[in-house]
Amino acid sequence: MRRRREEEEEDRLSDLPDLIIYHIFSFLPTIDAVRMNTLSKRWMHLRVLDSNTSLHFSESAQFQKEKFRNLVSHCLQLQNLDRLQRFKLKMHFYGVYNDHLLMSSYYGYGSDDQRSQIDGWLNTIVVHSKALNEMAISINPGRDTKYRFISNNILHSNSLAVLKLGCVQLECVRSGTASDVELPSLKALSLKNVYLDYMTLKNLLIGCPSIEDLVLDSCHGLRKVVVSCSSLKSFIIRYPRYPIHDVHDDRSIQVEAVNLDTFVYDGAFVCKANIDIGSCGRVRSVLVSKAELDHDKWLDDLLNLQVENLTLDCCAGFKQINIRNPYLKVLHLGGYGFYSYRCKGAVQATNIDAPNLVSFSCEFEGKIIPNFSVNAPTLLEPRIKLVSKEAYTTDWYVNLIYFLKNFDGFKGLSLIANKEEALSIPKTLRSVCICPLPTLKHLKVTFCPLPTEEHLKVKSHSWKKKILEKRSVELREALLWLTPSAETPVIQPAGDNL
Amino acid sequence: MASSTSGSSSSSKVVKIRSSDNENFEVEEAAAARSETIKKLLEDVGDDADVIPLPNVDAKTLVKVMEWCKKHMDDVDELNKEEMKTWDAEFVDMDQSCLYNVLLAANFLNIKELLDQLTQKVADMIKGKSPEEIRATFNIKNDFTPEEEAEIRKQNAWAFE
Repeated sequence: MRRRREEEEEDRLSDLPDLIIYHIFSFLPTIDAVRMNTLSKRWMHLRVLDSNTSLHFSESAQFQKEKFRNLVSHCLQLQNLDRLQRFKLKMHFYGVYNDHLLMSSYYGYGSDDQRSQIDGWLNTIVVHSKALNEMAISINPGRDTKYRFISNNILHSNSLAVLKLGCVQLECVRSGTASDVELPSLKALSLKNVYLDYMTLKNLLIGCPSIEDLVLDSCHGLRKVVVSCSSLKSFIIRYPRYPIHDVHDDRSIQVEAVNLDTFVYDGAFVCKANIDIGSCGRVRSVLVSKAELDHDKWLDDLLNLQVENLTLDCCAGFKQINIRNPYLKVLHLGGYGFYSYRCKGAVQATNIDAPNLVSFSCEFEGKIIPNFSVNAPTLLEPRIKLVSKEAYTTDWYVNLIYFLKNFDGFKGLSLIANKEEALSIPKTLRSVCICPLPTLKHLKVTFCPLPTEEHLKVKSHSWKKKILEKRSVELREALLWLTPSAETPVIQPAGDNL
Repeated sequence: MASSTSGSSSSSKVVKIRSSDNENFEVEEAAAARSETIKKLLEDVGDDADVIPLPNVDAKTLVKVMEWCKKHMDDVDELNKEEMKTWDAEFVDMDQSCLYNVLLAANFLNIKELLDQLTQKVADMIKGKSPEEIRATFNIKNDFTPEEEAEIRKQNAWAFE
């Protein structure tokens, strides 16, 4: 016992080799790293900003405005910019643009002053850091106005491979062949909550000839998107939940990218979209969610491609989901209950004919899913997720029994639910309904309980066990009724390997 | 404790490694090869390798490291990513002396992802703390004289509020 206490009092951190300590620094906000110098003599001699390969500043409530700006300026002066590979800056912008003198003095300092300072930092870095690989800049507008760079110097770097911009406003222009974007090594570009228009996006992409990953997350101003880019492999576009402009106009997204592998669209339920990725012949993964699509033809076009992995989650506008594709391996259909007033009607029929499908999952929300058929001879175990409800009514159980009938032809079936009640088909119903899965051999039931406050307090293992022990008789009887030919249904808690 | 992994897939190859305190372990090759150091050694000695000695890693630490390697042996698909994250978070949640041992082992064995996870863990323990709090957390002795400390505080005043 005594030895143990001595061990605990050892200072093993200071004994770590310098190289590991510098590695630790690279995971720390710069402020925390430079403060380590004051710990002891051992730490005083470490040259944080000299050996550091990354700078990371984040303005916090305790350390802001002038103090924060001085810190960044100071570190940039001391930093060995030749070594700098990563630069992250997250701060607030207090300015307004057509600032009158009155406004400037009201906010403590002129906003133009702050603008030129931020631009100055970025300029210094881009010009001097020849090894700069990754840059992430997020400037939160303190007021409505988004930060706009004075010059687009940050968009000129030969080494930059990853660029993430957040909350700013971007404008890129092009006159003749001269572009204000020149990022020949850029592989990944991510814009989050950025305001940019159609032309700016176009000019940006022209300036990034090696780009492989493009993320447009909650960006504003993009009613029409045309991405034409032969190096692009992954394109993710998520629309903002609360768009500032262009609220109810339809969108159009056109992607021409011969090497595109992955396409993700999240429409945030805001408006109808016209998506055209028909020319992306190599696309393998497509994930479309919260989308209102106007016609079934979109899906037909998509399925002419060799898509292997398809997710349609909460998509409205389909009258029929006809999926006939020999390439498809993984398919997820979610949100059958989603209904949009802009797109009439719910899905009337779902026909899946996929000879090479190996993974299929869908959601059941309690509503009738009419005319459903899956023909997938290679599929062993479809998964159905039962979406949680406050109360499980007779309708729920009847519709569930009706839906499960579609899966009797498979070898196995996996059901995932949050609550036991979802599957505890009452005795009265069991006595009048026809068993939906008379020949099914393997049924697996997984319960992923919704975490409650109590659960969060206790360590995960213990409550999982408790839930296992609490399985009701009703549930067991219901499962045995569902699958009379199956071996004992396997029930497992979440977290174990599925 | 002697053999940390036997493996569910019997087809995969097994390699033998020996800890600094002379305990032998049998590990699936795919797991052991997460370590660039072991991978290199395996390539150098080829198929007729007997036991690979790891003079810098004791048995207790090696068990930990191989537990991680085994978990990270296969590529993780989207469905299991969350689960893996939770597992990783629980894995790095260990006492400090163990943490340093595994950290040094990950460095020696050259397992970049594990090294990064552990480094991140140490960084998280430092983040946002005052120098006094950091000293207390890690038992770092303040060996400055009052004069020296005043001087160093002055020099670094720009980094403090």
